Amino acid sequence: MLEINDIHKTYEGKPLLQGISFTVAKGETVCLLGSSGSGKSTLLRIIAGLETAEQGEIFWNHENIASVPVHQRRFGLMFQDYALFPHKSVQENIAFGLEMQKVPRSEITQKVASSLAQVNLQGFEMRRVTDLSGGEQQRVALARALAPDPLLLMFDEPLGALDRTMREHLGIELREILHRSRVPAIYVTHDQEEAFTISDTVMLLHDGLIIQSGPPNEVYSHPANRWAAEFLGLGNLLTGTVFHREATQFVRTGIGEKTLICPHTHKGGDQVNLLLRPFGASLIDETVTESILGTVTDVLFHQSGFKVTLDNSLYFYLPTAPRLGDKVRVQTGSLECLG
Amino acid sequence: MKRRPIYWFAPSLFLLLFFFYPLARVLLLSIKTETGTLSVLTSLPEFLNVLQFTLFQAFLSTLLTLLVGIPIAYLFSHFNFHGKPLLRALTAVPFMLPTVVVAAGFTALLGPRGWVNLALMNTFNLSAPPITFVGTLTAILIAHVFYNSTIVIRLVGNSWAQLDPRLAQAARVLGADTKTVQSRITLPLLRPSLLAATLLVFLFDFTSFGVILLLGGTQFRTLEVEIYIQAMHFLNLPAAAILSMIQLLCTLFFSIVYSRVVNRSIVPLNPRAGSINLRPAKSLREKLFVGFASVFIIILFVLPMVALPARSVVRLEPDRGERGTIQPAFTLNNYRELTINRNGSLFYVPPMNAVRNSLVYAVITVILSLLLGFPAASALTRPSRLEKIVDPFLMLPLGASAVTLGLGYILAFNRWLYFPFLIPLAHTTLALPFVIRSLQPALASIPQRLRDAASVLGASPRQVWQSVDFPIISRALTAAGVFAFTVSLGEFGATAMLVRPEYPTMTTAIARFLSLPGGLNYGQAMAMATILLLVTTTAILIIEKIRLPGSGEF
Repeated sequence: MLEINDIHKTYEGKPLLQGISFTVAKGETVCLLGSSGSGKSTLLRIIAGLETAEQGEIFWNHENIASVPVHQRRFGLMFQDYALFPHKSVQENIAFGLEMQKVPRSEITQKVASSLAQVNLQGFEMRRVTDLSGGEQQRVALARALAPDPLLLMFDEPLGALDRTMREHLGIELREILHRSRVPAIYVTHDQEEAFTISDTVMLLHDGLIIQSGPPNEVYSHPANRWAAEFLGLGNLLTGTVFHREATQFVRTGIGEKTLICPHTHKGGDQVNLLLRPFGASLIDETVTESILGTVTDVLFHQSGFKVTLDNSLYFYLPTAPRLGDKVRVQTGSLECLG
Repeated sequence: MKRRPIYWFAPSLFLLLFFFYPLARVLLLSIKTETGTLSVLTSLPEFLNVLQFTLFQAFLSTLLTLLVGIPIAYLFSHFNFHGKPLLRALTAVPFMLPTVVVAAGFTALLGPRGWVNLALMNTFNLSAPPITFVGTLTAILIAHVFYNSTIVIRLVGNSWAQLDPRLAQAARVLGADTKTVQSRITLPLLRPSLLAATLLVFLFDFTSFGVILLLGGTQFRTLEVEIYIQAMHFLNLPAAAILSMIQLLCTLFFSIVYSRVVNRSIVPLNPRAGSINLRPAKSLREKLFVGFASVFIIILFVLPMVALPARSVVRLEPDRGERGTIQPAFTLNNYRELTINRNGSLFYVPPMNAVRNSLVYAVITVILSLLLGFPAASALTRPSRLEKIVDPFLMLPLGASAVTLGLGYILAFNRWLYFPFLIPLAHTTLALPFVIRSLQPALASIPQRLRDAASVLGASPRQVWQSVDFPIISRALTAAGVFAFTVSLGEFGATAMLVRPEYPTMTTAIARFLSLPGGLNYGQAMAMATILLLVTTTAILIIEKIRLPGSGEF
């Protein structure tokens, strides 16, 4: 349906987007995940037609839409703090897009009511948008975007202004609404949990390029590089030097020599980035090859166990809490090579 | 309960005595005029004509001011370009300039001896000035636009700058073309500030005095001018009182409409940072707009103010014994003349005395208005219920007509009229609202937390005041003082009513010089107006410089 091809954009002379390409299929929700300033909002604005790319094309059903002005694209865009019209009521806000399409009055009233029902705000028609809570405003903004049946829905950090509980709750609700309506959607956020909750496909945006793209679980279990693993907060990041012993790849790191499990073959002496996940670790007594020795410097209670930090600055989640200053031996998962 | 000092007592008493009492006397006279009824009744149709003209010129002026102000508001709220801060500051200056200076400036540019006429006469060898400006409706309208565009530029420009651009973008994405966005999003969101600016400009144009008197000539009379003429020329105080009441009722009506309309149309917005819409002009159309608008601003706002000082140091009259073409030459004669008491001169005192008088009045006004304004502002910062009621009364002089106030003084203090210090009292009354409105936001801006933090860190109450309150307040006090100084220096309406011939002020002296024929008078008007222009402009720049962000915009 939507096809983005090699989009370039500079911002104040600096390259912001340097060749973005991806597609969004019918009913698919794509999530663009990147830190602030990565250009993800600009990309949305380019797709919406609010800004123009310096290079690259956007196709909708194989038709180049470069010359189609914003108001004729029939794409929906939900802004970060919603951009609800403060001088209009909830009803008037939601009706706006329908009025632009010259939908008859009676139909508009019906449509507004059903859109409000869709976002669980029945009977809110006459309220002033400025009197609504943050969560309610967010729902009105969603209803306003949904009401004119957009061909594509775009979300620019739509939950960013809400508190944590509200964000989780609305994230799940949003996912349901998107799946029900089968509208293809692009969702922009810097919050990975939000991205993993909502999307069918996650795309990591960094330095103007898409670093990785795939279903959430795949991105989670196979981060493409060190930046991806760090950005997603997957665990301890180490570097090591590859060496070989009897056809097996090993890696020499700050925590000792370990076997390197990697689909690629590395030359001896290669520097590699390594990921050591903090989960699935346990305290042991005996010497096991894949274990780490250290002194406990910090213990923090956490939902998934005690987050224990050692003097070599590695951290793990353990089911039981050692005491500060204890010398411990931790059995960990294996090192993953990030190339 | 902590005993609160009654801070507002002194300012209230002052206003009671020097504002409400004089106005009450005007009201009284207008009601019980029986002796003079006949003359008043016969001139009633004439008064209606005056009212009609007052409304007509105010309406036309307002319309033109909007036409000029709105594009400039758009320019300043949407584009970044070289020299913008300077241009913006320049548009702010006229609003606070004394009317006599504005009149003198336009005379220097477009009057019979002004630059434009001189240039045309020289170029085409004409014997008489080809352009008649002084004494026309055009002059009144242009001066009003010059004066009040600032209000539109500031009020509309500020709300335009803070308008979230994403509202328009949201509408675009929802399928609205640019025209629809303008009519259904931008315009409704700007409506409150547009309405406020329109009504405020109308109010100022309605009560305009100096501009009409000095640039309109004898044929144009607004209510304000008619009050002055009835009182000062015909000594018909009852007629002046009745006119004052008509005027007061009208301004009261417009003020009520203003606060109603503004309150009702307020749209709660989360204002964005003022810079969110700003960008350099990109397309050719935008560049042309920025270019033309800048040139226009310079022509309208800068030329008259440059023409004036330039004209004050140029002489045209050939030296005695010489004949022939006019040769403009540099001279400081106009300034020298100010110190000379010529036989048969206007006031039988050297004109320079007017400068001295004005300065003395201004200093008294500053001291009085700060002494009265500071306690009032302190009380209004954390107002009790009673003080909340007092607040609008303290602000009333802002809407009062200066000429009517002068009339009130004549009626109320007729036994002390020889006493020259009635003028600074009137000035204090008029300056007080400005002083309070400058101080109050600064006083309110000091969060209690700051004082608490200082005390917790070990500061004694005196040290707290010294290190927290004083630095913030001193800036505001300076700004308020300069404000009062400017108001007093440039005040014309009340001064014209109360001035004694032996104690002229700068404004009345300039007005007098301007109204008399002859090159010497003209030159002296230019010279003295230039002095006033320089002093006020300096004062305005000081205020702009030290004004706390967001405080005291009018």
